[in-house]
Amino acid sequence: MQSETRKVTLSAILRWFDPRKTEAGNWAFILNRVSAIGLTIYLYLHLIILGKLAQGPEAYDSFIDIVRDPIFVFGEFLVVAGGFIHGLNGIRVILNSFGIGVPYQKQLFFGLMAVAVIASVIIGIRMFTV
Amino acid sequence: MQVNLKIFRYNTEKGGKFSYDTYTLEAEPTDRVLDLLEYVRNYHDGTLAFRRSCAHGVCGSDAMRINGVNRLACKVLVKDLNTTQITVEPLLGLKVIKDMVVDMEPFFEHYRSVLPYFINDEPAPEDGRERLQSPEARERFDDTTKCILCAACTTSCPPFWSDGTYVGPAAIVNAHRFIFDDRDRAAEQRLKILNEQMGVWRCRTSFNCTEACPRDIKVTQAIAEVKRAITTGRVD
Repeated sequence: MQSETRKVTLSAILRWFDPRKTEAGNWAFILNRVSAIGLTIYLYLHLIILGKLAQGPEAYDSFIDIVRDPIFVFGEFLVVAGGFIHGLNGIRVILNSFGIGVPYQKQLFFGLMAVAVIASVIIGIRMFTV
Repeated sequence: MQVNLKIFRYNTEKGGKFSYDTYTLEAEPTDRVLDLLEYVRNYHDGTLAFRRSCAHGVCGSDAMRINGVNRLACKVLVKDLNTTQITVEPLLGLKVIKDMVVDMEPFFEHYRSVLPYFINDEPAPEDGRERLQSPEARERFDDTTKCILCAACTTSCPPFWSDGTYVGPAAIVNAHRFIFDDRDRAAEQRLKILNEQMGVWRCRTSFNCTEACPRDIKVTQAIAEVKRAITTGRVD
């Protein structure tokens, strides 16, 4: 293997998202990357918000009033959907990585993503109506 | 029929920015993309650089990006593209030397790193015959013997684009060919090499390699089998 490390450039990472490579496996790869970045950002936001607890109940409650806004609820919905997409896609990656279901990777991907969409819609309806 | 052929142009010696040249050409639906490139080089611009050797899908010299997808220019017919707009670009992830010619050395360095040759220090059969193998044992690695080292798989791999130190699908395919050969005795050594940080575990199962292979090798399957062999310690 090469010992020399090549510089990781932004353009090299952007190549992941070249829309001309539209096969299922590549979309699965892109979805997993995007959802992972989204969930990581959310994790840090979540920790910052929890830090409000240290400033006392008033600070926390006033912040909670703000996040009841539908825009924030939609953001939470994206977190739920991202969790389903990333988690279920992760199951596909684990199976395929060890040679299970490789010939059926497209069906596996579309099937699991259908489950993710259905689960997200059900939870989304509950989030916006309850 | 008329086609618009857009060709990537870059010359390391001149430096500067890359550009695209576009040619409107008369073509038959059964013309290969390689035929169009040769026409341009012969009749329009003799400085156009691309590799070709056998021109029949065996040598693997003319792998390039055709309409965004890695293909052999000699195996793609104009009618297969379903469009008259054809864009030809060099492979991604390897340094461009001139136009479609990329520096293949990092690719071959990865290939050599997996010991892609037969290793068996045991004495040959005393009767002077070759080391015999059953058809079933030969079938075990038949798929990965088809590799022509064109680099279409490795240069379609997102982890390889973002970090060229990843050994890449082609090297793993060629390691697979010997790891699962029951006459070979260096499987353990190869599995150790591929278990390193930049070995098989960089694979993210995007299946681009399987889609790109002009020889229809089930590349992701081969990588998965190597991963399994590393995990279980068994080659069967």
